[in-house]
Amino acid sequence: MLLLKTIFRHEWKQLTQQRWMWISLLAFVLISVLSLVTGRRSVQTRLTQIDSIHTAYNRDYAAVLKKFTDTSTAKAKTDAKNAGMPVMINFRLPQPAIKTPATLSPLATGMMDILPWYQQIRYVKNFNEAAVVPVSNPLVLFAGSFDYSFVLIYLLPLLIISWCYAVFDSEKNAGTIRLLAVQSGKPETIFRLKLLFRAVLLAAVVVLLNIAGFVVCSGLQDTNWMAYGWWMLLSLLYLLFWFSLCRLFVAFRKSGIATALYLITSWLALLLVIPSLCNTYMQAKYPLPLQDEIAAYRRHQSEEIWNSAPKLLADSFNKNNPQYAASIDEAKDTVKLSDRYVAGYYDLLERRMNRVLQPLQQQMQTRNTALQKLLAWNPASFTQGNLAGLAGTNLAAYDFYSVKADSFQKRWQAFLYPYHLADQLLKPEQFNQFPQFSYQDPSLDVAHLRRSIILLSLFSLLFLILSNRADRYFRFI
Amino acid sequence: MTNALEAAQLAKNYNNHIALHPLELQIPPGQIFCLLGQNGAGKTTTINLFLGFIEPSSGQALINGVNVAKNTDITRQAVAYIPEVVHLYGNLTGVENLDFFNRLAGFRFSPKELKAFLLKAGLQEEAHEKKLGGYSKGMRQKVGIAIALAKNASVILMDEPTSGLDPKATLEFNAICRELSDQGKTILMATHDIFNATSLGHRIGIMRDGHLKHIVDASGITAEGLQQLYFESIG
Repeated sequence: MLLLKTIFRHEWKQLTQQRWMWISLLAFVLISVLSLVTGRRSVQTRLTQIDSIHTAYNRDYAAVLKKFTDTSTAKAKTDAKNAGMPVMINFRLPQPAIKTPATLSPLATGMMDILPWYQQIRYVKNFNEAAVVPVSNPLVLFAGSFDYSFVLIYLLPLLIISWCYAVFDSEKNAGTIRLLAVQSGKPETIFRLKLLFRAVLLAAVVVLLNIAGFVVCSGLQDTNWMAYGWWMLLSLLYLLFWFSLCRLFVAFRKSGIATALYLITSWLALLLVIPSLCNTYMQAKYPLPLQDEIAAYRRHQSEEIWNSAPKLLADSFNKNNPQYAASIDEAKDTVKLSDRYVAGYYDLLERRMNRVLQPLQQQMQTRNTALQKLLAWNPASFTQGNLAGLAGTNLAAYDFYSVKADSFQKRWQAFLYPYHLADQLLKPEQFNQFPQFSYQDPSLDVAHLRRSIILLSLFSLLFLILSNRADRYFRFI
Repeated sequence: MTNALEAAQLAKNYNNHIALHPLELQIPPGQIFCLLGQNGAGKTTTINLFLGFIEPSSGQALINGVNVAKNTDITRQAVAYIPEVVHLYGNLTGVENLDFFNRLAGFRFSPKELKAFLLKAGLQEEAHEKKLGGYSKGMRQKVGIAIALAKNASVILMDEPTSGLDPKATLEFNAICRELSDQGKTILMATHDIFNATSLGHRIGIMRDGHLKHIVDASGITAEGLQQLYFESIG
């Protein structure tokens, strides 16, 4: 305990006199604060957009309801008559399906700026080609944009490396190792404590930054203590992982330059090279069609279906949607541009598109799962993935949202079609029965988080055991 | 009585090179033993073996009867070390350096006590609170001595401690060594300085190519006589 106190006191004194260490720490803190500000601004903007969408919807909703009672002019009278037409409601009041940011989204914006977060749901599905284009850049895929999680995953290791690489070398160059050994009897312990001091100090900085991040998040969204806890644990274990790695390389007793090179190589490998190689391999193994091919297919199918005989489309629709059989009217349905003809057109187009898109999405899912599995052994990748997962901004969260939005589109269709196909009008009081889209991020994948925690701990433990072995093998003097 | 320092068939090989042939040496408490020899004669190897910095290829290095190789943590508690150049932290003051190295050894002294050690080691008071980066070699050496004094070790190992010191500083250094010897501290000093060895040491050993060729009593030989013996020994 006395030795620990002595080394910590000495290290603090040394630290106060080493300007570059303060500068690097200050730079890290400033970048972190900047990332928190950026993340906050992104989510704040998103929340404002969401608020604006809701306001616009409520305004439109009120305007449509008003039309029922407005008989001030001849045109208004006509509008009032048509106000309850399902096709008009579908046109005037597309239902918003919004992926609201999760509590921790300001800390890890992930796919927030890349994937769709808002859809206007109508009773026919709008195929948005952009949504089916896979994200293939591994940096984008896992790191997303500049945010606090990026700072933790990419920049924190660099700070740790810069603080640790010369721990042995500086004493060697100063010529103090012999005296340290004679006075303490335990030079290895001294170096461990020197690293521990740095680890404790940086851990304190990370804890403070995390707390600052949580305060930022709480100011925008509801508090989520569970997510905060996991975030804190993951970030501290990630810090421990890098310190353990530094400890191992320092134990090899190489020169400061050599140690720094080993550590930077590890950083490059874990954060850039391995994810890129894995991604390249996956792209070769699971090639996906280009966006243009999908768009061309859609155009081709659209044209072909549109030119089909009305009866054919109506029959196809009736066969696939027996729940609307009550409103079948052969004479009316077989006329071009009849409601059932148009419904049949969209129904068939959707089926044909799904025939192509579903295997593609399945393939993308398989590819992403395989990539995740491959990277599940890379602490940098899985920690990044977990942080984005906690923030509800990873691929899985957006896939989840997409499924929810699709399901809501079916509910909206199921609500309006019975009126639409039977040529019935909706009454104002039926507006209260509109299905509502409510989004909640998938619950935390605790098993996955636990696995990551265990892996980070095991890797750290392994490095520490190896470095203790190395201490015995590589002598100080 | 147990010898303060003892080498029992102590030897060290590096691959095919024999750095130290089996060495037999006993130094009783309170004695100053000077080791003379050219570079590569085995002086520093002997000291490193006693310090536990390297492991012997065979034999034993004993401090107060305790095997160094097997009990380095224990034997280091009884040892102080003054190297040829005392390297300390240049950005800390003399007092801060002394305080840190004392705390490492498990001792805590007040600033007043620390300054007393520095004064005893011969470092003038105005230098105590100055950064070590501005110290001369002699001044650094004095901080090294103060560290040894404060540790109150029974055995002090010195590796060419007066090399590069001016004559006055050497005289002051010798005076401190004698005082330590009078207090019962044992000193093993590797040196190139024949005249200093005769004036300071109780016994003098001459090494060559890893062999301890001669051990002479300093009281029975003059500096000139030792010089002659030294040149004969090293061929």
